[in-house]
Amino acid sequence: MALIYDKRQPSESGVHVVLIGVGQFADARGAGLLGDDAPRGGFANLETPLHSVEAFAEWLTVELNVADTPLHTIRVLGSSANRSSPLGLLTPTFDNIAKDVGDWADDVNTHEDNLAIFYFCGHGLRIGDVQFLLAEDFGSNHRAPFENAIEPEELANSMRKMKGRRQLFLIDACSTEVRFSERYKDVRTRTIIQEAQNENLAKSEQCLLRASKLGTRAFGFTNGPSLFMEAFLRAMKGAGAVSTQRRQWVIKTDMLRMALSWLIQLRPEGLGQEVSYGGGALSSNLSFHALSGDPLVPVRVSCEPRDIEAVSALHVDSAEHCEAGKWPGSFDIVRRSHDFEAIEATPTGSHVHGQALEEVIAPPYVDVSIPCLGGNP
Amino acid sequence: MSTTVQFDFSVGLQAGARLPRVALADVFELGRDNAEERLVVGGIVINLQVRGRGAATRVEVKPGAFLIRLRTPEGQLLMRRVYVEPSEDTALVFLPKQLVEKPERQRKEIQEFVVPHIALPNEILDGIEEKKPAVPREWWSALPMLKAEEPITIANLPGFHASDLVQPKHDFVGIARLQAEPRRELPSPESPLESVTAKLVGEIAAVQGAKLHGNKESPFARWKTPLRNRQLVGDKSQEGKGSRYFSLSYRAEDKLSPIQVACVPGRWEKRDGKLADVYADYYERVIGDTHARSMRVEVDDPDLGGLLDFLQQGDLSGSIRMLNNATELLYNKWSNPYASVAAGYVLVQVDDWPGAHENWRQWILNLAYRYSSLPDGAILFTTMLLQSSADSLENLTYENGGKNPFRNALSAALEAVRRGPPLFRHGLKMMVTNLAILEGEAKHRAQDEQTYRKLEAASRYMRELSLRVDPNQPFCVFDV
Repeated sequence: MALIYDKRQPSESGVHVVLIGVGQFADARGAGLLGDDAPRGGFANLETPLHSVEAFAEWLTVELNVADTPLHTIRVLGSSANRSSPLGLLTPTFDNIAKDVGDWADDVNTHEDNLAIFYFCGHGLRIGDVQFLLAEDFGSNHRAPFENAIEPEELANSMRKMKGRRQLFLIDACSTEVRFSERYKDVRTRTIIQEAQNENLAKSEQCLLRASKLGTRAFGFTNGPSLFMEAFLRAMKGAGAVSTQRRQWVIKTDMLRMALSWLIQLRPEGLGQEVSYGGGALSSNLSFHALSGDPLVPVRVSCEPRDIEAVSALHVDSAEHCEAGKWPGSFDIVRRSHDFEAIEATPTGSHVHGQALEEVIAPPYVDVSIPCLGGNP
Repeated sequence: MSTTVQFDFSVGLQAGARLPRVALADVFELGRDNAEERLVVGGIVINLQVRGRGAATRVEVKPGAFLIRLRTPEGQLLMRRVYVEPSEDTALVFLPKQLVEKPERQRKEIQEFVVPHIALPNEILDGIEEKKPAVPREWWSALPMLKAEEPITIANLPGFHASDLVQPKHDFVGIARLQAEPRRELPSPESPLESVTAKLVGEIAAVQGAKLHGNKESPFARWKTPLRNRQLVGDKSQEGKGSRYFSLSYRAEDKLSPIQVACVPGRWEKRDGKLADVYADYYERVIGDTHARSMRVEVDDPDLGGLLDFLQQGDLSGSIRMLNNATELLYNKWSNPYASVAAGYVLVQVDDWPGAHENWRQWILNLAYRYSSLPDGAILFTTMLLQSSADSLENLTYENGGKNPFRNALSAALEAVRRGPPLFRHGLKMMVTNLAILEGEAKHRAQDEQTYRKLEAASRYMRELSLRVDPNQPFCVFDV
């Protein structure tokens, strides 16, 4: 089953979501596709896509808050070589994807105020300016080995004709470049939705965010969601938020992009992984989730020089936040100004090595550096 | 006294990386324990290359506490909190760190560290590496090709001394500037095996070597006119109407091996009437697990550089803000069709915006029709025909009446394809979508077989260009 959430109301606007997590690539490996051009590691099976779609589906069901636009549908396709999902999902072969994306598009096409969300997690490739997201049966047809893949920008362009104008595409996949050669000059995927004449180029609000820039890799963990999804869910607490009126905050994609890149790069695995837009009209500054309170903003606090962190506790607003030597890589804190101090506990009392006072903590993130004086207390 | 907002985007940049040219600033008023923020002014364009405090951007605000967010096209972010004291002048003055007065010598060193285009004197570089004997001066001259007896291709340029114009210190890599005539016919459905030269360049009319400057790691060529031969290049008013220009990156230890072909603008006139430098340099491009030295094309125009950077990053909201800064240049001056095209890509995608001129759609149509060797204008107008409101296209004046190919989407699209690859990479994406729409319609309406096959061939051609293009650049640069 792919439609795991269905609260459609005829003639009412709603949020329609399709999530695809591809974890098995036996056909691609079997075909020996690309030969020496194959990306490093070949087409290894992945565990993170299933975790990612499950985590996103749960967040959407519990947390998503779009003004006047309730969640109407969630479709999920996912696979893993080692486990099945409690959601009982369909496998993400191309045919299954095409069917569910088609149904999702039909739902999006029912109302102008609909919000569409598309998420893909799995392997991706790029040749030139074209990104290929691999379905589970990618490579199964040796006569047309690229046909079982999705071109995300082509899909987004074809979705422009739909009535629902707000459309968010999240592409959580590598886009490792395969060098162009004459072998690839005709590679083509199957069409999911035929592009058609429309009047919506300027009217639609489409945003496509890639987990990594074209040509670079994206990462995930075996036992959990991808770096992108982990960062995305964290950013929904406030890092991607913009103030629309006093103390009313909504996630917007311009701010979200900056937040995601920073959050992903907090992890050593994510160094160099930069979130990027799709081309042309696929970079609208789309708002899609309202916060119920003030945003929580990720901060990274460090001492200058760094070795003071080993002997000092971190105090935030006069309360101890962590012990000496255990400073966190980052943490979330409510948006306003805060005091940060590096304080060493000594037998004779406390020694304040440094302070950063009245630091305004605001989205998307803040790096706080506490200037410290060296020497013994 | 005004309040200075100083910032430095060079911190954390990798060695050799280019400093951003522009940033966008949003100014927020802070309230209630700094827990609230209210946007006061958004999308202020900050030129990061201004010289002198007098040229720095000023924003008038009331006294109080402010939070300022600055972002570059590449996604770098800086935030500053400032407090504006009550005084006669409460303006915020945005001042890039580079403007701080430094001894002349020190400033030069910094520039050389962060800007790859700064040339070291050739004498110094040449002393370090092996150098070939000087070649006759005329070997660097523009060489007409149309009368050659052999077939002219990017791998065979008779009379061009490819291997003599390269240096071992640059790993025998060279750049040739090409002048070409767009082909007269569409890619033929009957002969899909068209040559790479015809696909990427058209018919080569002239070639001229470009001298490489810079060190071994980052050689570059620079020019203001596409060929150094007034007779071949013709009058400035012919830009976009006659020949097209390309850069060919090649390696030639002995024989010429083409690597990449870039679409480059001809004479790029800036707001002050002077010609901008066009650069072709090299950067390390990651391809799978390997790195390849790839050609990169840039134009040194302070007014348009920022727009190109935002376009390249696919940042539409940033691009729109840059348009505000260049309105005069875009609407009132027809001296630079290439810059107009760059603006056109943003205009067509956003349609109406607060600073839009009422005649901008006519202006795009004129760009498409009058600049007959520039595919980009044709692509833009085709896109409007296929993906914009039909009402907005009423009352346009079509020059040359019924012979104007832009009266309908099919002939407009085919005319765009005939002109060859677009100058800007954005045009490729637009054109692929346009052709897919027309192909779908042709299939659906069972139009005549010949039209469908023409569209199919055009689509295949644009598809191949998309697969060959380097996605890291605003201009089209194709792998051969």
